[in-house]
This record gives sequence, C-alpha cells and structure tokens, in this order.
Amino acid sequence: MNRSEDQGAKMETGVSNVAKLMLHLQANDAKGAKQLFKTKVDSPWELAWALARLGREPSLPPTMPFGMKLTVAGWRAFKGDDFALAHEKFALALATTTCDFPWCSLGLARIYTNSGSWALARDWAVTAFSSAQRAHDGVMMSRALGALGEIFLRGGHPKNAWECFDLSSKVLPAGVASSPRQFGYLASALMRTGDLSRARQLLMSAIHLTGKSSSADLAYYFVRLLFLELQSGQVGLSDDLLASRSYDQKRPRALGFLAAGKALRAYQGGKHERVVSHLRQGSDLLETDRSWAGHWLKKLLAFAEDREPPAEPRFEFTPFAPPAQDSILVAPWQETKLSNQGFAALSQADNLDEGFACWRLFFI
Amino acid sequence: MIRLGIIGLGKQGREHLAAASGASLANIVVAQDIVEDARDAVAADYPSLELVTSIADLSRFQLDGLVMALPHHCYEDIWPQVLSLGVPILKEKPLGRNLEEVNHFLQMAEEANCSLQTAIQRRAHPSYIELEKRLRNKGRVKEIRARLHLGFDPQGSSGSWRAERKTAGGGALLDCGYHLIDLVHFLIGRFELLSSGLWDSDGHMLATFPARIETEARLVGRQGNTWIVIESLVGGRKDEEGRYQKFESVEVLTDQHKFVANREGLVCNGEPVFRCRRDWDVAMAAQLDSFASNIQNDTWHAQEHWDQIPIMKLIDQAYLGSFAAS
Repeated sequence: MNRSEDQGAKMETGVSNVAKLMLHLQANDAKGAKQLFKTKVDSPWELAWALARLGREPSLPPTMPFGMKLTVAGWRAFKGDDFALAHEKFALALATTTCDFPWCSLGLARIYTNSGSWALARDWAVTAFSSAQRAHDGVMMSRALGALGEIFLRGGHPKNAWECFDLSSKVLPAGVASSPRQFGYLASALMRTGDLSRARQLLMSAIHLTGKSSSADLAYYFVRLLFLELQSGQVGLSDDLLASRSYDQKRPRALGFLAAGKALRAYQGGKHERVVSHLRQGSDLLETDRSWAGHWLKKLLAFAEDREPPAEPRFEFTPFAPPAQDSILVAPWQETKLSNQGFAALSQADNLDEGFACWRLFFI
Repeated sequence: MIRLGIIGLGKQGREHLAAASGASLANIVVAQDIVEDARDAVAADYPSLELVTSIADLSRFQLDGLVMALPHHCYEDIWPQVLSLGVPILKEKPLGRNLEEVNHFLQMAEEANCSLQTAIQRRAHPSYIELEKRLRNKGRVKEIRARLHLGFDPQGSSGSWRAERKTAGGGALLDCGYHLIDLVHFLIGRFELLSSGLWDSDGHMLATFPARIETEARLVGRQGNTWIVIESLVGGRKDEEGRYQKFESVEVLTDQHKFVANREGLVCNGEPVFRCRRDWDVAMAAQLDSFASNIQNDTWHAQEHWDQIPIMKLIDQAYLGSFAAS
C-alpha cells in the first residue's frame, strides 16, 4: 500500500467512526462517544477531514487546536441562527477534547435555551460555570452565570435569575467593569418578582449609562421598559424617551419584541386595528426568524387575524446531557425545577390573551 | 461555682435554664422577667431558682455574670441599667439589630467595664466541632453550602416582634443566617460577600418594602478560591401535606472529601463517621461553662467572642446591598 492509499484507508475509517461518533452523541451517550474517539479515531485531523467532506470545514488558522476550531465554527453557526449545525460542532468539540471546554458547554446551553430544553440548558450552563470556576476564569464565570440567569428567567424562577445576574457582575476580575447590560438583566428579573419601581430605576440607569450612542442594547432596554409599563399600568411614560433616542435598527428580534409590546398596549386599550398593525410589523421583522421568538409574533398575528397559527419551530438535533457535577455550590441551581418543554405554554396558547402572556418565556 | 442570673424567661431563656444543669462551672441562681406568667412557668421546674420582677432586684444576689435572652428590641432601653450591675454578660445573638447598635452596646459595655460575650450555640455543638476537627487535616476546602430552614409559615409571623424590621432588626438573615455565617467563620474563617438575595414572604426584594423583614436569604461568598453558599429560610421545603419542613445541613467539599454535617452527626463521602444527640443542651452547657471560665480567668480574647463583629459587618453589608439600587 503506498502512502496515499494508506491515508485514504485511514480517512475512510475516520469517516466511518465519525458517523458512529455522531450516533453516540445523538443517543445522549457522551461517554461512549468520547471512548470511541479515543480508541478508534486516530487524530483530530480525521475528524476535520470528515467534516470537510461534508462541506463544513471552518476556515481557521491551521495552528488552532481542533477542538477550538470546532467551537469557533459552532459559535459562528449559532450566531447565524443555525442551531443544528452549532449543536453538531459543539458536540464534536466536546468529544474531541479531554479538558474542560466551557465555551462548548456555554454554546450548548445557549442552543437549548433557544430550543426550550431549559433543564438541559441549565445543566450545560452550570457545567460551563464549573469549568470556569476550576480555571479561575472570572470572565467565563460571568458569561455562564448570565446564561444561567436567562434560563431561570424564562423558566419562571426570577429569584434565581436575579442571583445569577447579580453574581455575574461580581465575579468579573478587577479592572473589568460590569456594563449597563447587567442592569438590564437585573431589571428583567425584578419585573418578574413584581419589584417594578426598582426594575424601572435599573432600566433608566442602563439607558442613561448607554449615553447618546445608538447601542444595540438600547432596543432591549426599551422593550423591557415597555413591558414593565404594561405590567404597572403606567402606560405611555416611556413614549417620549423612545421617540427621543435612536436605537439599532439592525436588531430585528428586539424590534419584534417592541412591536409585540405596542400590540399588547393596543390590545389592552381595545384598539384591534392597531394590534394587527403592530403585530404585522413585528411579524415582518422576524419573517426569516425560525426561532420561538419569530413563532410567537407570527402566532399572535394569526390570532389577531383569526387565522390558523403557523407551524412550530423544529430543531434538527437531539439534545444530550453533560456529565454530572460534584459541585455543591451549583446544587441550588440544579435542584430548581425546569422543563425541557419550555415553550409548552406558547404551544398551548389558544387566543391572544394566552399568547401575549407568553412574553415571560423570552428574555424580555 | 460561678453564680449567674438570667434576664428573660421566654423559649431561649428556658433553654439556658435547662442547659445549666449540665454545666460544670456555672449555676443559674436567679431569673428575672417582667411577665408573671413567664416566671410562673419555670417556678415548678426549678424550685431553688429565685424569681424577680425587676433588673434592680438582681443586685441582691452577688452575681458573677448575667445571661440575657430577650427579644432584639428590648436591649436598647435596659442596657444602661443592666451595665450598672457591673458584671460580665452573655447576650443571646445577635449582638445588636445592626452594626451601629452593636458598636453602641460594645462601647457602653467597655465604658462600664463589663465584658460582653455572645451566645451562639452551633459552633459549640458536638457535630460541628467534629467537622471542624476533620477539616483541619483533609486538604483544601473548595466549597461550603450551609442551610437552615426554620420550618415556619413565612406568612404566619405577622403581629410578632419578629415580623417588623424596627423591632427584630432583620429576618431570616439576622435570625438563622447569623448562625450559618458564624459556622462558616468557625470552619474556615472570614469570607468576602459576593451576592445577597433577600426576599420577603410575598417574593419581593427586600428594598421594595423596607419595613418588612426577609423570610428568605441567600448569600454567596468567597474566601480565595473557596466558595460559600448560605441559605436561611423562615419556611423551607414543604412535605406532602403542604407543611414547611425544618432542615439544617452544612456540606463541605474538599479536594477529596465531601462532608455533610447536621446536629445529628457527620457523614464523609457517604459514610456516617460521627453521631450525636441533636439537642442543644450539651452545646448550651458548654457555652455557659465557657462564659464561666472567661469570668474566672478574665479571658475575653476567644475567637467566638471576636467573630461576632465580622458577622454583623457581613450582615449589614448584605442588607445595605439589598437596599441600595444595584
């Protein structure tokens, strides 16, 4: 056998084992996947080759460790809302590395947050936090805690959410300042505990600290402010503020939520035409959004127009759990009950009342 | 034998009386309470105990020290009169309703030349003493999770002095969180507070209704690379019939061991390694003896004495953090 034939045979073996690896991962058998990789797949290069054959090789510096390349590719896919591809990359990255890889765990946590597998999302966020904790990586701990806070927020545990958001700003290393964004997160938690005046203080602080720039975050602060006012019954207080500040128009999801808030305000005021118009605007903004956020807007519009609701988002991956953690620090978070059908309330919503009430399932 | 008097015959005062029978260095000879029913309630059980109505009456008994077990708000008015007796004081925790009051009490006691010790029992309980002993030789402590759930209905204390911030000074944190912070200090030393979540019985953050007390307190702290979680609840988990459950546990994770301690004993890596009675009498008797020993030998430098101020500082920090806009 000459050199190229030898290489080809290895490649074929690699493809076959990579396929097996994927099956292990899809069957929630992370242990089996890791074992297979260690014993059967000769090198990360084989996996890279297999992925290249599938047209999925990320163009990254050749010196970058393979697991890291996959992780980067996973985050690229996540940012492009391709959750299935991101899932595949993160799962493979975890299988190819023997060390803690908090970025992968965090990536899976974010994917599962978006798909509604909130118990698993929590478990992966906790894994990311524990990895970062072992590495004394304050910035990563902060990110993981932020992700964890979002999961608790969506899952109806605002006190846990508040704790995670609060901690996420406290674990940052000296010299790394917490941002107005943190105030926005804390406000989200307090909106759900009913501490509305304090939530408002935090949001106004966040808006003013953002200065005169048209920060991408500003749109989210306005979304929260609008929903806060809808909760408190003090409708219209923020109108002048919204009109006076420019915010990033490239944030369709935030703008979609803003439209949903305006539609809810119109709905509470019995102005049906405005409800439809705001929802149509929001729905158009999220036309290509295949996530549950896009579905929410489209389903609300369908209710408002008395049409059949659209089909629900489908995610082409099989979620899997991380290895168990022996940490007692994270135990309170792990003991908190969360669903893996996080968007069930939206699935079951049968009218506009029930549909609008689902705003709490999102990071608003 | 050191002769002690006790002020206050409520639940805690009666526990001190019961524990005194197990103390080898101290004897409680007189008890004061302005409430007749409270005096009557102990008269039958302690026939040799003298019972008096006023603090001034205590001066007739040639006391070596005083034990004080009163509701938190009662000390403020009587403190000068108590100090005028000129004897060392064992005061039930907390040392004060807030750090300012602690400093005020300490300063007045110093001026009156009265030594002041805080009664805090958990670090004198056999199971926690055993835990501390084992931790000394078991490698680096990585994490501690300390929990105390009182098992009361969080909505049920309205009307009591404990339900008002003005009288109680605080709720779950000052009441049972104090014990847990003290235990952590006892086990590993002082730590830095990172986050404090203090919530009232309606699930609101403490700052929203400042006059209320917190029925749920969760603190996260750090000492170097050691992480600490403290959870104190007026309520707790509910059983199948919807009743709140009492619960107490201190879990400690070291490099190689996981300890779980409560007042019934100690478990290491899943194996029971120490058992004891959960009652307080042994711990409280030990505390009375420690107080008596301090009186006899004029030794007021023990760690348990000086740990109280850092506890109050940490609690004050948690309250201030909760009241301030983040």
